[in-house]
Amino acid sequence: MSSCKNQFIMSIGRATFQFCVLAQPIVFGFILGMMYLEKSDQAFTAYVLIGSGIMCFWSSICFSSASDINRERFYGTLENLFVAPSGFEMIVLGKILGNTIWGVFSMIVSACFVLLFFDKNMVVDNVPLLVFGLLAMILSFIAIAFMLAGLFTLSRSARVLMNVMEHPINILCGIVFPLEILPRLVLPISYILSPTWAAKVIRLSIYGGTASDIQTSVFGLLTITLVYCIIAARAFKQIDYKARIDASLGVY
Amino acid sequence: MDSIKRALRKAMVSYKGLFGMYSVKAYIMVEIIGPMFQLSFFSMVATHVYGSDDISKWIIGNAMVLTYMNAFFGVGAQFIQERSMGTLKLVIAAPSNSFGIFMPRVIMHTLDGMVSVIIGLVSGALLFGFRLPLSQWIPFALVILVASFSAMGFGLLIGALGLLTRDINLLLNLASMILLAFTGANFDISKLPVEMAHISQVLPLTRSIELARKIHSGASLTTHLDLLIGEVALGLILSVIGFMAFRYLENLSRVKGTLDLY
Repeated sequence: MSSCKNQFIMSIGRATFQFCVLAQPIVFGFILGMMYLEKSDQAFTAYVLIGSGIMCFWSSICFSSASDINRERFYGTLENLFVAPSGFEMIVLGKILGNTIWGVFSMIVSACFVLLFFDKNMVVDNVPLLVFGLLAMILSFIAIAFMLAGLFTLSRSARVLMNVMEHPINILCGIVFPLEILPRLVLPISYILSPTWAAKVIRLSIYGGTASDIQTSVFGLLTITLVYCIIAARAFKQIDYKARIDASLGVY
Repeated sequence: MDSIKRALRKAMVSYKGLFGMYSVKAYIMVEIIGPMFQLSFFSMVATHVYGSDDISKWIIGNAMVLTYMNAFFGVGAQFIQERSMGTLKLVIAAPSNSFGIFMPRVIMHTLDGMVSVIIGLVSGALLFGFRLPLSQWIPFALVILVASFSAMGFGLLIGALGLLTRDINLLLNLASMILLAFTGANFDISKLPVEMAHISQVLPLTRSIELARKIHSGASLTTHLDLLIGEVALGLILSVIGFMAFRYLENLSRVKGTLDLY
């Protein structure tokens, strides 16, 4: 918890993170809102009100999980965290939770701006499913961040990757447009990404859907989130092993 | 001739300095893959929103906007990078004019900005079937050059203002997003509320995007020279204001001794 608290306080001190959490939700909400202005209230709710929020949440997760590890490496404190008695995984998880709170905040900023700026109604068919979808999505993003943090601990290209990763996920997961417009070839990749399922659940809560559609999407989301957790746990074990053998944890 | 050679050498050295730390793989990621994905993302949204018949208009807009990478993270970040490396005071105290030091860097970024736009257009051609008639290639290239130059002027201004801040990243990212939102790259400016539409008119790229779209649809450059001249003039004005702001801050910091203070 102390790692989470520290991260929560310290991360917002950085200008880039302030941009991700405060400015980007407004700008993305504005651009998408202007693009979807003439679309139905349901489309506006799904792709602008919720979609732009998910995009910003993803940005804050993507940039923080990569840059936090990179920053510790730059300061020379990565090794210290690695051997700390609390455990490297727990410290990283705390950091991710701190960033997640800001990610949720960025979603709220985006939604408030869109609701206040655009004269559109929020239309939701199934409110409990929307709440469940959003909560499951947050859990899923925590699992992704945990997995990425592990991978970025080993990678030397974290800084570059985090700048390139943002839009591919937005595209592949169909966060602000329906998945159907993507080429069929890339759909298998989309379906192994949990935000795809989260977006599906959220869209079903807005447009409505059959019980079997809802069950499939919820099952897909929870299963893939679980798989990410298992991969992350294994990755951290692998990191521990590799870091001790290669002794290159702090090397760029 | 010597001074031109020197200026070009400075431009090359500064460009290498910016990207030299990247491996080839990382350079390709930043210069090609990143812009490709950004363009693809907004083009996909445009496909869904405006229909899939012809999204060339939005591909052009989003390709032009890619110049912001060089404008802000190349030209705009140069003063603050010198400051963070502790070399800004050396540059200021050097016998040569600081204009002669910083301006050549703009040349390289203007050219690189053009490359970014071309990468965007090629991505649009490969992924979304964007086509430009062969007869329009030269006027289109001229518009890209002017757009890139104008964006660099804005970058210079933002970079100078960045010296007033502790961390320029917020300013650079915000300026990039403003270009994405207000230049008509993703939706028609006519949709904007009147007060916001004025912002578009003082931003670089608005005119270039409009002109590029006209040229793409077969119009002649000579019939829309006002847009071209307007963009060049805006680029010059922004560059002059940017450089004057830098000179003012330079003088102020000499008096107060705060050049390297954050």
